Amino acid sequence: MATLGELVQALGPRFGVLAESSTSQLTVVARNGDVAIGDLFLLPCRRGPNPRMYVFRTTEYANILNRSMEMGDVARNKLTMPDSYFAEDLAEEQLVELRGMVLGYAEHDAISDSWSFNRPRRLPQHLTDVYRVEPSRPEAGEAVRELLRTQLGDRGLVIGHLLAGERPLMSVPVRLPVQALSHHIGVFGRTGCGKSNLIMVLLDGVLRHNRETHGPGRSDRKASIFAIDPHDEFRTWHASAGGADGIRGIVNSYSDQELTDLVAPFYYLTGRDMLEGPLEARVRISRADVTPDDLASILDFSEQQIAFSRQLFAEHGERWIGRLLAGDLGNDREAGPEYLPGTIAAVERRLGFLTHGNTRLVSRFDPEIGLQYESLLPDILCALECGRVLVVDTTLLGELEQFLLNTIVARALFALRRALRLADTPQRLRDEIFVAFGTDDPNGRIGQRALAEQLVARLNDGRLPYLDDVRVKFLEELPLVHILVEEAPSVLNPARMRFGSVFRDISRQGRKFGIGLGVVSQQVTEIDAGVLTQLNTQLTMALGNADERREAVRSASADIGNFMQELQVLDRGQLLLATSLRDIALPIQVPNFDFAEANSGR
Amino acid sequence: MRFDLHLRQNVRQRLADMSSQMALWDAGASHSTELYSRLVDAIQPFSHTTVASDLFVGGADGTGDFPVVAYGDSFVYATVAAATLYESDPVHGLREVDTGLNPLVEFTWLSGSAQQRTASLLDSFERLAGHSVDEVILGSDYPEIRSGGRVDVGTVRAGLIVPPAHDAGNVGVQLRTTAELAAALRLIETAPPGAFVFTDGTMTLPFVHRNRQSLFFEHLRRYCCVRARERGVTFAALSKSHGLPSGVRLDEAARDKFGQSVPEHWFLRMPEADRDGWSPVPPDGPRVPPVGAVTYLFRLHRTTPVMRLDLDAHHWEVAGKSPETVRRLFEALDYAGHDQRCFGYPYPIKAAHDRASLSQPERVALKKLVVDAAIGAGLKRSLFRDASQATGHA
Repeated sequence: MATLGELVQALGPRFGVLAESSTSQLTVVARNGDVAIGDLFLLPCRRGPNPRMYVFRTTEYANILNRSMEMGDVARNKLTMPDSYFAEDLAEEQLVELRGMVLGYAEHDAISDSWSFNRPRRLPQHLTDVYRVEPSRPEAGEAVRELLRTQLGDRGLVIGHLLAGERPLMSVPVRLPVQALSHHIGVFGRTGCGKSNLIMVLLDGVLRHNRETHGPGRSDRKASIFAIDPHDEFRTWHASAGGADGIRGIVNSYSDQELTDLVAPFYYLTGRDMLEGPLEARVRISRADVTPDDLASILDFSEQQIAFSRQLFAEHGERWIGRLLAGDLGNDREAGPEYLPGTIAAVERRLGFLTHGNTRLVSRFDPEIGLQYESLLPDILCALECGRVLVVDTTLLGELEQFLLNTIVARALFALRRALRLADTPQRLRDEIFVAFGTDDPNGRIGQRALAEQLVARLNDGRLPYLDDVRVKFLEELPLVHILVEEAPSVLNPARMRFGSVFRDISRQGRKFGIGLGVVSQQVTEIDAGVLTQLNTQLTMALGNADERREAVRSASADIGNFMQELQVLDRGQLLLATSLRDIALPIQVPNFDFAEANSGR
Repeated sequence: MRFDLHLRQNVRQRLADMSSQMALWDAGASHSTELYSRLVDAIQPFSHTTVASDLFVGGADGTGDFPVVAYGDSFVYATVAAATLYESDPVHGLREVDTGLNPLVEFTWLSGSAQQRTASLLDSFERLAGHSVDEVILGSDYPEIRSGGRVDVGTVRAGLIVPPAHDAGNVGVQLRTTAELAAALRLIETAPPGAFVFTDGTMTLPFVHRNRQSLFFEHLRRYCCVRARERGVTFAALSKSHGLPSGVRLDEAARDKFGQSVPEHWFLRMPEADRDGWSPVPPDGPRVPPVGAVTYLFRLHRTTPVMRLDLDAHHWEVAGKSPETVRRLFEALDYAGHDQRCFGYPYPIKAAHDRASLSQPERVALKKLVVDAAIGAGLKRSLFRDASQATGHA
């Protein structure tokens, strides 16, 4: 590890001198130069027993003159005095004053010869020299990487490079711990700020992670992502326009064995009937996969309507939608409350998008008339349990269908993992899977029997990898699963969360089961406060207005109040990473996937 | 002090009495018509100068913290001085020249012991001046212009005034002036021939009429004059106020001379009885010009006051009194006074002042540095407790 002196040497000439300081804010007086908000500075210090290097980030710049009169007076003289000039001093007259926040300090431990990063609890010395981290100096980036090592992460998903001013430090990659995927992630940014590119980078990161951790003797957990792709861009990215290929290009570089182990049975699901390549599948679920709670998670339901739906589900189980849409509620209904015809009609109307011919996603289910269970859901769940990246092209699906698919996958996976946690033997696991999907034969409950049977069948043949021979696996042996919720305000708004949305439970308990949500939204204010508080990682990009920025700051899991001004000037592809898994928030430039892909040498 | 002081009747009465005396004194000042017309005749114009070539103008200024730290019977004084040199430049007006001179910084420890403080103060003088005290005394022409003529260097050295350590006012004046002149001396020895070097203040020699006692900076001032003459540099002291009695109606005379409400770009050499046969200053008034100097009063710009320039009289007699030379001097001052930061005042002096001046945070930091160093050397921190602050007097 480099010593303090070596690090200082790597930083180049001194930029300025510390003028005033507190543990949270510093004022530095520096020579005149081209500077930008967000510039990164290092302050070497020998105040304590061990050498320290403070890391400081500017939030404000001002032009000043070296203890001469006020700038206003000078400007007035320039305006009103004929033949005046501004003499050129050797260097010291025109200065800049910069203020900013102390991110913390790295302290060198002589015994372990390593730098450890600390929150800003101690002050730097008076009149400390200040060095600017110049993105054009690779050795300066190396110094930052060494100092911030514990905050940058040396394992995990690379989501970009640390920003110094307006430019990224290419030698300082910032990684998101893989565990963040199961601790819920918020991705906030207005349209055009680079969210899609970020998600593409994230998907690429997960694929890389799985590839790197694949193989005998590797104990790292794999990761899965289920990503709705409303614009069908992640598969081919910009290949058609001459840019980088998307996930198709990545998986095409895999060996046959890797395709089997890391991609099969599919990575791309679509509503189109015509498939363009291998490892693609037509996405379809069955009415038998849908529960009243799924619908209440995506649609407005009154309490009466949801109660009626639940009663219907209790009576008819997986056939409840078919019965309702066919008007065949039967005369043998169990004793229970009677519902008004208006309530029944309202539920019918809400389920209108599931009627045959109205949906390309949901297939009919009525074994009595030969309509068997046709659903990709069991295979989707199995794939996610094997560590897969699944992108779902929803361009041909309606908005409600898109939300429904997301909801059902999340809920079913959550139910499966709960069942797994309850089981200690293979047989008990099979039983718990049935229970998890509402099937209770002794009490005459049908529940989602078809789905449960399919899952148990896959459990038995090994496609659902919950068994290790005769041992039931622990949750920790399964991949971390991340479910991206695009247009999150539509399903995670306060009104929807009120009526027992499946996302309510997942947001609160998902991390226990290794399932995390990815909340993607242009607005922070529209997301339910309960969900926001559960987000352990926020990737905040440029936001539309001050209200959104305030809310982003308020709900962040790390204190990013001092970044308020920087949030205002974030460019395309730049974001602020705040995560409870790290001590400090970091501004990051996400690589343009087109170039990142080209540079990866894959 | 209580805030209601200004409301008390006896306070207001005392102020009224004093103001009446001031007004009476002002009214009683000499208003000789002949004197006034001579003043008007003596005032000369010079050009508003916006173009200059091969012009070098330097400035020097000193400051410090007097004292920076006090403990027991000891006091530590910090002194700072800086000098700047600028060259005329068609793009920037003035462009600073790298002289390679660093700012002077000196710490002086004075104790209750006369022997210690004399040695310590003279050591500081020597470090600042860059020459030994004897070299300065011998090289200076001060003994030639003072009362009593030349005496041996040992006697002069023994007659140098060393104030008590606690006499911050006098110690401060000596250290600051010495530092300023020391910075100017370095500049004089560096600047190209023909350059102008200005210090802030006057060329007054306070003890020049005494036989035995003198101040080190008096010798140093004259040493600067000698060195400037040797190198062909014009050395002068510029004061922002002329310090003349109110009876000397300069503004009025300039108005009458040029027929403008606020005339600018004019100068006048201060007449003296010995040289010119008349003086606007009464015999018991201030000694202007000072011994060994020639004084000019001048105005650069309407927004700045009438200022005073003291030149070495010897230099003036030999090389500085021709109308052409004098005009060039004031045109140089005018050109150097067009910086937007201090329009109407020569920028090199302001630049030197800015470089040398200490802000309050810097004073605090300096004090901490001195105390930390002392503690590092073995002194106890308790020695440096500020009694005034501890007792609520600060």
